[in-house]
Amino acid sequence: MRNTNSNYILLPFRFDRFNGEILVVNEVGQYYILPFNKFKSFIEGKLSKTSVHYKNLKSMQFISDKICLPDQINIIATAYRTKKRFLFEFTTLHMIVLTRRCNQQCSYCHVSSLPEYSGSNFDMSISKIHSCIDIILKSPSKDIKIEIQGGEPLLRFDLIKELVRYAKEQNDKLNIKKSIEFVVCTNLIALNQYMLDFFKNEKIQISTSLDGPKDIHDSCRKLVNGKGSYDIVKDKLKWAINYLSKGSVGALMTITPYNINRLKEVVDEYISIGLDSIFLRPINPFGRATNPEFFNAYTTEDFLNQYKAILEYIIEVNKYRHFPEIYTTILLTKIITPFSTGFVDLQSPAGVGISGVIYDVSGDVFVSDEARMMNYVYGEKKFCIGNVNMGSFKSIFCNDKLKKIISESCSESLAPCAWCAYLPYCGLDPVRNFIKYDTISPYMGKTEDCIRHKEMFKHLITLIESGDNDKINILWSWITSRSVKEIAPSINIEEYL
Amino acid sequence: MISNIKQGNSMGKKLLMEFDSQVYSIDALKRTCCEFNDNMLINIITNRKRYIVAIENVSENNIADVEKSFKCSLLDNQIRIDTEKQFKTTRELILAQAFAPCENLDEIVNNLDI
Repeated sequence: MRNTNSNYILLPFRFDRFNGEILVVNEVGQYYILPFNKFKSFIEGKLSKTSVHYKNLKSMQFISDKICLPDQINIIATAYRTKKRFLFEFTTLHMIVLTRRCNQQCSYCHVSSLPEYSGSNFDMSISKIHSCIDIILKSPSKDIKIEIQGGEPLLRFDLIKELVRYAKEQNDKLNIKKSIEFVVCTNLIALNQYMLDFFKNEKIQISTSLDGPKDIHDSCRKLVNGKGSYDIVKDKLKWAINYLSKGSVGALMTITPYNINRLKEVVDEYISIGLDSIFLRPINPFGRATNPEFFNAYTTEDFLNQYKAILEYIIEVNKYRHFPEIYTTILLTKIITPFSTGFVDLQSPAGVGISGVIYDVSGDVFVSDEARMMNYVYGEKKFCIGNVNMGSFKSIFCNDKLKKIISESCSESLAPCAWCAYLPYCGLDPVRNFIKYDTISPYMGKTEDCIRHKEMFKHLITLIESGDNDKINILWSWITSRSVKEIAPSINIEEYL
Repeated sequence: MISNIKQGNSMGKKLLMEFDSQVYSIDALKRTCCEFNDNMLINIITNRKRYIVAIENVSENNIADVEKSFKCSLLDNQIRIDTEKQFKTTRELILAQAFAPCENLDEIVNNLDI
């Protein structure tokens, strides 16, 4: 229903108050900032066609006229399809839990792993591994990432080898082969030369955990004997980084009460070890992390303050070396580029099942890591969508249970997400919501996840709009995985040294 | 819009606000109340010409801020509803074109009242 006094047709947008002005964001995430009086003119259809705001808003698909409308609808539709690319690719991330046993007993373990000596009945059988691979290779996605998880998967290196062998063998039999990438999520404690050679030869990546310098890391990440794991992890991490090709080893850190006020030391530790990025990750309030030591140990406001401060520091670091913060890179990619990120925790519809899925040692298929944790801790199978030994790909991934979960976690149909300016960049995690709020889709507006993400989006847009070209070039270098020197050859890197 | 602060109980004050129902829709008012009701008790009374919103137990130090942000939020929500009405059809066409493109989009657009 058009405003008949309008000079133009409004195309879909959402808005928010932003640093004293109005941020308008269109259906595919392009944004524009207007003073309030110009925003008023914009929505009343009274912007002059010769004004800069009119021209900018028209070129960015906020404004149209009847002649241009079909073309502009097609342009936005194409961009929308690109943003929602993950829906066409279907499940690309397949996580396989080879064992629930672990040689560490981390005090915040969100999957409540079992001690190493618990027995092989907590390991996946070879027949179940084969069944998992058979299901995975039926996925319509041509690019598959298999993440080998635990517990600690290196405790059953024989199973890792069999999984990789069988996956490659079966993939070779396909008429149209898939591109398969393997990642082993390990604490590195059991790593040896034989394993490292295997990873190198098979081009398998390593994802590990490092929470910071020794006292920080050891405060949570302990061996079964109660001693800290830092010394072993540091040596083996350096070894793996030097032995494997560049980019093959990554580390995640968990923000705990022990490091939230010492993130600069954590960044320095990552750099000194030779890691080329960091992923700042708030603690997951599940499993052992629900203990009073961690539960509500820091507020969302604490996290945001520390995030903003450490981001400034990391940006400074990037003036002399490429060292992106990965979560920021994901958010920036959503804000600045037309592309889908493939990050399953923050997309709409939710990525559970349709973008990422996890196969437990029992063969049960869960929609996310937190979903299998719910089964371990509470015996809750609400988010179990089948079992590899009892179902086909179709019965697991096309069942009514998964459809219901996905349809209930579509932010576009939820209040207040539906009219939130940051919707094109955001999404929700139904399992996380269920654990925290006892419902898949709570009123998100006041949840910690919403407050945190909204403030992070605002902060990043403020940085982009700061006019500080050095900062902007650095952020752009993260998104494009290029050095700042390539992005902006005129920058004199040496002057920062 | 008029507002009034009345004596509440020991937990805080009661904030009363009155809005013209010709200017604001009940949908905008409900969206706004949802934003505020996580730690406040809100009652809405309506008649043909006005809505009366009563927010209970607002701390005395906060009351001016709550009133200002409630009114600001209500205005924003009304703008959202008004503009959403204008581009609702276009949004539906964009989503349809994204997932099931049609070949006669020009014809469809020509026949629309937009």
